[in-house]
Amino acid sequence: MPLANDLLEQAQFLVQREPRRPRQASLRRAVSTAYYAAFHLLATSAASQASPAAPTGLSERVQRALEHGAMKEAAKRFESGNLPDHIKSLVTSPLPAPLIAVARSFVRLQDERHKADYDVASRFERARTQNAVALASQLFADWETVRNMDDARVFLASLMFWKLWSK
Amino acid sequence: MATNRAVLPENGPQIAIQGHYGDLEVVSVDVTKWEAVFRARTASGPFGPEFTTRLSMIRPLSEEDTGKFWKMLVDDLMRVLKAEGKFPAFVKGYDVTTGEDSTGDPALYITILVSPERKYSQETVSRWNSFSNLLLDRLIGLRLQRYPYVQMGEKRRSR
Repeated sequence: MPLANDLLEQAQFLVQREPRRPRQASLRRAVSTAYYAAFHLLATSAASQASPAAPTGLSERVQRALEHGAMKEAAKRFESGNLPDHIKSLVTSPLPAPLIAVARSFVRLQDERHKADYDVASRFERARTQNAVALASQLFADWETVRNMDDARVFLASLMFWKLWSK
Repeated sequence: MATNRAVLPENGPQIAIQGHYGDLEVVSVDVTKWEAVFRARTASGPFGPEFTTRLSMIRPLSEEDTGKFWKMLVDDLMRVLKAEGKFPAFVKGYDVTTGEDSTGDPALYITILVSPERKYSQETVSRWNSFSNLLLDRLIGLRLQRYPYVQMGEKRRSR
């Protein structure tokens, strides 16, 4: 099973690891893992699109060029529909709803991941955590419906080249 | 000395608006019209006249005013959703905070409070997601310079 799917499954396990009194560590790791599931799903797709399958290891190396912050910036713009002209000319208007949903979930998951990993003052409860894991799960489902569309290809390229294209 | 201060309404968020002078405060917000009503205020209490401006023109003066203004805006949005019959029963309350998101952009955080449970059904989480999306669509539709985030929280007795 691909890493992204394994991570999603692990997030789903962690959110229910302690049925009565969940530990902060489990809930925070669940949120973080849910984000990384989404990240790897999109990063693997972006790298596959941007590089050939051979030689072995090239696609993985390309994947490492992705930056979390730039990916979030790109996803924010796809969510709001406020795209720069050089990208707007490549996509349909309005964007497909599942693609907007992917962008929206990714933005929120990354923000929650940041809090789960770094903000010790932030409290993670079952509801919040289960919601984050469900967002990741929904992102997988939404991605499945749009991943072969041209707009999704532009989205993936934007995740990878957002900063370069902004110059 | 007698004073009428106790009966005065609480100060609204203090703001700056281009072309207006004095101690300005927001009186009310209407998200359906993308407008807010504001007025000048003296030390002894509010005095008119009231003016209307676009929401995007409002610049809260401090962090506290920013928080108050966005709380007013979200309160009005919730009022509208209630009037439209789109305010779900699972919402036991909500918290509104402002700050910066993980990439340093101005952010609005709405925490929807629900009853605590050991496990929530898929249908329940799906309903949360629908309501979150509704809030996000409305807030993004206002095209204000603060990115909205909706998260879930559990309503505790001590809250």
